[in-house]
Amino acid sequence: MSAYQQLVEELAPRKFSKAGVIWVIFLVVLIVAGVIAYIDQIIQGQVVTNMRDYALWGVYISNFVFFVATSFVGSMTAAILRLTNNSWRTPLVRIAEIIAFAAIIMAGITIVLDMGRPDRLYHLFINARLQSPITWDVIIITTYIAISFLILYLPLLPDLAILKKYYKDKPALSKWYGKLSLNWTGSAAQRKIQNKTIQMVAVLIIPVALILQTIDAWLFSTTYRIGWDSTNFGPYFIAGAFLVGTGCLIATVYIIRKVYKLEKYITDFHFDRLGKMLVLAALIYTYFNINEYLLPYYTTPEAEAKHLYELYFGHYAGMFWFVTIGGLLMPVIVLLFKKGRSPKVLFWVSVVVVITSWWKRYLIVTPTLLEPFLPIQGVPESWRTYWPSLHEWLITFATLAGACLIITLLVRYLPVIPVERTALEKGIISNGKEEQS
Amino acid sequence: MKTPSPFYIKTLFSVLFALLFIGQTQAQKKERLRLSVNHFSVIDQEDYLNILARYKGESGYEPVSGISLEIFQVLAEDSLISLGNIDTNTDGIAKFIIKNKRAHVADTVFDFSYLVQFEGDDKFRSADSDISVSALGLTASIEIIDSIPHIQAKMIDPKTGEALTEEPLRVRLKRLFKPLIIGEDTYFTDEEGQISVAVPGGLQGENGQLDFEVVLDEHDTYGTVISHVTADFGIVPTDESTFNSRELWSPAGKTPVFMLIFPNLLIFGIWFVILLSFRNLLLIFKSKNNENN
Repeated sequence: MSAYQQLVEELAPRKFSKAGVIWVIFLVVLIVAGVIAYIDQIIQGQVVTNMRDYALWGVYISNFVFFVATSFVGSMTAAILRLTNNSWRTPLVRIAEIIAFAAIIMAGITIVLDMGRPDRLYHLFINARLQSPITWDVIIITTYIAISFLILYLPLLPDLAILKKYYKDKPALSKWYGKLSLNWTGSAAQRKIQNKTIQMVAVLIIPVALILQTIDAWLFSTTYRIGWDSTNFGPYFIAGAFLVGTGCLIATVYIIRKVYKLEKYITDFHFDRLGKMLVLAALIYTYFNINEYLLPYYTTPEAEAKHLYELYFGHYAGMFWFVTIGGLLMPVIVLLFKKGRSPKVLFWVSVVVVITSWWKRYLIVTPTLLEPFLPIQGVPESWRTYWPSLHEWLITFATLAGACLIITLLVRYLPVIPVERTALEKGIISNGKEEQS
Repeated sequence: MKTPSPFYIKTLFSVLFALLFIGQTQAQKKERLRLSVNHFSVIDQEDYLNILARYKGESGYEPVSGISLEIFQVLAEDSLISLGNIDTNTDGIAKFIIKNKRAHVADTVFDFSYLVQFEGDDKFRSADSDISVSALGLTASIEIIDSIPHIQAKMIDPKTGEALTEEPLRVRLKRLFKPLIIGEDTYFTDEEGQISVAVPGGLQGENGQLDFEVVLDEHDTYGTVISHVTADFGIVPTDESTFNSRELWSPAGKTPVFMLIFPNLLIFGIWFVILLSFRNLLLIFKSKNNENN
């Protein structure tokens, strides 16, 4: 077996193991439970949620913001590392692109789940006001889905053509890979168009990703609410997305490396680099958190001081400090040491970062809504607090499971590490042609 | 067993009957209705009675709504002539416009006497209230003195033609909800029965029209008397509503121009590249076919 054949063998998609099948079944069960809860929510209305006059946005919007933030990882690694020609990026970019694609798809779905009347989705388009951040969000999410697809699909073409040949003993699969590869032959004309288009999309995705995160922030900061009325929110959201995206990437890369036994391609060096990137992200986000939470405490009016007090010492103190210490301080402290950047430690740090990042979005959305400038009259006292209902949890877990399922299926059928590029970098092939060895 | 004597039986029945009677009396106890009546006379326009019906409830005076009141004019020798009926509104108030009144027929010092009568119902006992007023000559005009418009008003007794002095008058500008006081709160008529009040500049009125009122408020003899005078030197209000302008909060059809230009440039610019990329995918697909050809 030639080096090239061995490489293809190692990087080609593989069937699910027993654990993989159980994982997929688990995800499907979660999704089915969520779909049942959602159907009930449509039938009964949003009364099945615990969203009321105060908390009119709840866990769905927190979850939506989390997905939008996670999708940032695609542009961050795929585009920046691609444009700066960092060779160590090769085994990571596709995983990042897959995460970004799955996350932005689920962000789009989640926002529909939050609608009381999903059958009126088209109203978002026909009654769109260009002044409304909601309209910007609808436009930018649609745009980002298209770009995430392109940045994932374009570099895949040579690998799909390789898989077409690799699966020649499975005609049906081979035919599909052939169709998806757009009859890729690796000709100079095709490569020229592909490189030019990838370059174009890689440049485009960076401003679009920044716009996406900023618009997500502006959904909040264009409303005059305590905790949201901040000029800091755009960069604050970008920094937060950088952190959660990196955390998500590290956790996913670790699992894929372990399951597919890709230690030869995804080395400790990659984790060391990713660990440093996570520290950088955590430090930047810490800086913006200081701007967002500490400085206002000096100058803030009474209403905002109450909001901050609730976060520091009140009802949300436990969650706030868990998120701050677990999601910001702990990663910086642990990952400053080389041992902390070993794959296993880094994986667990990343898991904590992702979990705290999810709760961070919950803390951004909910406490503010519970503290309006004027108390809402004539509503039960219980409406002044919020905790998601069973329906909300089931639907939220279903969306998270949906994102995981999209990633799992893409990892199952696509080569997670670019085959042709790896072969080129290792000198096994040149210009798509196998070297004679 | 000893049989009760007829005396005890009679006494027992008497007590039971008395208790029953007291209970019924308490159940049928009616509230006392209080009527207060004010007479308004708008010179050259209309006279009306403003009637307020109240009762003393558990938490102070409360309005009595929906009761029917009959209004009489009191004539000589206390004879009455009915002027009509009116119901109180939810605030317990009824405004009865006096039509068909008979002039100078009361046998009192006053020119007109009115009686407001409530006949009683299940909840309230019958009640009445009267008011007597005399006619008043109150004229108002606009005079320009040293280029400054002044409102001048004069009070006279129409029967004798004598000026009424030291009487309190108010000058107000009529507004939709609450009149705007012009000058001081109260002016007193001089020995000629006149007042003169400078009108400040900058008053706004629809089409520049200003409707001033000179008011004698709740006078013991004349009631409330209002004389109107209009002027056209008001400032025409300018419409500062942003309803029709292009603002961030306007409807979709009134989007600010900069918002139409820059976001659309961004959107179409980005989508141009996206569509170009999809076209390039098609070119990649076609390039194979071209190679085959």
